[in-house]
Amino acid sequence: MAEGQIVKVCDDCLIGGYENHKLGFLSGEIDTENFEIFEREIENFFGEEDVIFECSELDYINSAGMGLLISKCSSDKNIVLANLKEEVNDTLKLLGFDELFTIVKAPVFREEQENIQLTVDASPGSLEPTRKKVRNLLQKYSSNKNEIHQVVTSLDETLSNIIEHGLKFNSDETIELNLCIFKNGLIIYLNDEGEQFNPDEHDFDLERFLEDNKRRGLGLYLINELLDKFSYRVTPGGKNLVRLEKKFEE
Amino acid sequence: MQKKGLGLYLKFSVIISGFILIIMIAAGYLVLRYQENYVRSQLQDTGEILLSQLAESVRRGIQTGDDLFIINAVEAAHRPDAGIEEVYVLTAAGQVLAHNEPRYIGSELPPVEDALLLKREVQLPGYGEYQAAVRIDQEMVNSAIRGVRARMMEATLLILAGGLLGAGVLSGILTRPIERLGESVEEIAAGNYGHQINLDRRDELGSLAESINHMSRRIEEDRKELVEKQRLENELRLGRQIQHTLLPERTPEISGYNLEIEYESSLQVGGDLYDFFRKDGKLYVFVADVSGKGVPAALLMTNTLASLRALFLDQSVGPNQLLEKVAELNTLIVENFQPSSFVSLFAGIIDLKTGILDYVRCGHNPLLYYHSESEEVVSHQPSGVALGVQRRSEFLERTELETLQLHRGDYIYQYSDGVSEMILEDSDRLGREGLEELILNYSRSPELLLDEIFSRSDKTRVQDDVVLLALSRCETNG
Repeated sequence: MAEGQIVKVCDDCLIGGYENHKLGFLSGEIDTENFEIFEREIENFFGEEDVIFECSELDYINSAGMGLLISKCSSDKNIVLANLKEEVNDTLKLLGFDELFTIVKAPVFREEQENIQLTVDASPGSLEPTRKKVRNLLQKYSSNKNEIHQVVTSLDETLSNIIEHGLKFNSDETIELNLCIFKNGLIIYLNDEGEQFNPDEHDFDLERFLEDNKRRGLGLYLINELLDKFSYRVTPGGKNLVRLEKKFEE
Repeated sequence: MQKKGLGLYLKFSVIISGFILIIMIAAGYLVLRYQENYVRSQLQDTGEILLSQLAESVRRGIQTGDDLFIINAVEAAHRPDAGIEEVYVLTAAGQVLAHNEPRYIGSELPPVEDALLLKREVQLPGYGEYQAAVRIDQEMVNSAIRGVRARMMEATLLILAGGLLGAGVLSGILTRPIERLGESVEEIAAGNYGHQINLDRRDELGSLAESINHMSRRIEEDRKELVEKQRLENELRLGRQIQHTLLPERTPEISGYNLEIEYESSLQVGGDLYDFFRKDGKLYVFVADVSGKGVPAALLMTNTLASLRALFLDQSVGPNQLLEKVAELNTLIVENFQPSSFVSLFAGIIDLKTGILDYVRCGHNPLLYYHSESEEVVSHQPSGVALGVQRRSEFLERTELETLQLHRGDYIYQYSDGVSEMILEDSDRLGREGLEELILNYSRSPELLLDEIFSRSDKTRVQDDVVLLALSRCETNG
């Protein structure tokens, strides 16, 4: 954490899904007494890119502070406020500003330890070595066997789904795997150029699954249960991007 | 000033005189001792030479039996000018054989105390023993020492005079520039800030003068700043007064209702405003807060107030037009204010006959409603977005008109952030819950309520303006 008294930045921190946003941490109380400092720091902070503010330590922000943030909102600039405290969220709602910002709850990953790129062939035979590699890697950072198992299982399930449904076992295709390991958790990105996938079609209902015995959708259900976050989107280049997030237990 | 110069001179003089005296006393002691020994040994040498000549003459005189020869030799040896005071020759029996004073010849000599006497025995076999003696004048030694002492005294006095003169010159060298420095400092103290001393010296006094010049310049700059600051503060005070006069001073007498406003502005001009007026059997009530602080907020506040009055005073605005009028105000603010400025507004119209309140809450604090029958405080927060942020369509989409029936004995409260966000002595903020609790306790007296809030506020912190508006419908009509 560095820069500023109110707007702090952290170079090796990340909020999943907002990799391209500039991440700032707001803390304390922003009121008449320190507004000038806040104004200066905000002016320095904002640049070309979209921004996300992590607000779990922000206790209070006055109207002038709110106005400053609003003046920075524009049609082409997205301001995301993550993990707002209830009081601050209430103030936003009171002013009717809650729809001007994107308000999210998302874990913050801190202190990046390792960033590993893996290429996996789209064949079932590559699943076992990948599992092993990832398990060995995670053992360096987590002593919780259950946790490691959850990650490895989810990754395995995701990979096998992509190989089966996205890439149709075409072994010429590959999946690019990117593991970002942080002190308090990890994010796995999976990139492939296979068929696109609509997660809404895969709404999983355990009862229906048991009733009609159609073996579909269980994987996604499992992944959601085992991980903190699963997300899927199509990149502007037309690639599939899956993101898996898991926070380590303290 | 004069006193200071004398003080330094006196100190230098005493110190220098002391040094000179110590040195001269030490030197005098050594010189005198040396001089005394020297004079004494000179006299003794003369005495010894004379004595040996006399002894030879005595030997010859006795051998030749020529007493006169001895007497002549005694006469010759008697030289009072050279300090030889007395010369004589004694026989072995102690009788005077010869003396420079002839009256002593043949008799015995009276004893002389402390005499500096040089004696020599002359033994002549066959003629007996004789003693030749010369007495050296003690006074000669003493006078020689006295002479030296006198010269030493003279020298000491001369050196002392020189020393005092030196002290004068030295203190003069120091005191004159110090006096000038003092005069300059007096000048600065008298109000001539920025006064510069022209003292071209490369010593400590020169750098002191430079320091004083620097200080003087700094004082002048600071004073200018202070004057400017006072001027600005004065203008702000005037601005605040003008701002106050814009707000309605007295609440109207409305039969069947009781309207009270408590307004405390912070030290500076601010962005809080309230307004109310009666028209066509309706009471219009507004409480608004312009975002930000100080002069910018105050300017926007006056602008908002003027726009508000222009929109509502001209024509009859019924509950149905309330939202439309507020939307017009929103557009005015969007178009004319800076993007970082917004205004939260509560605008209500009360039909005095029926007690029906129609209102909008545009990003403002919720309406606190004291329901007398259930003795409860209910917070009403219909959706609404602050003015100056969104375009008309989005604004209208997200802002709704709300209606509330005021029964007899009911109260409604509206307030600015300064109330709910007041920092209390335990450094917590009062908060809406805190305010609701106070309303329950002081439901019948908004004034006491505000007194209570202020008595609990932390006076050391920067606090906002405070507006608290309370409207009650009386238990009885009139």
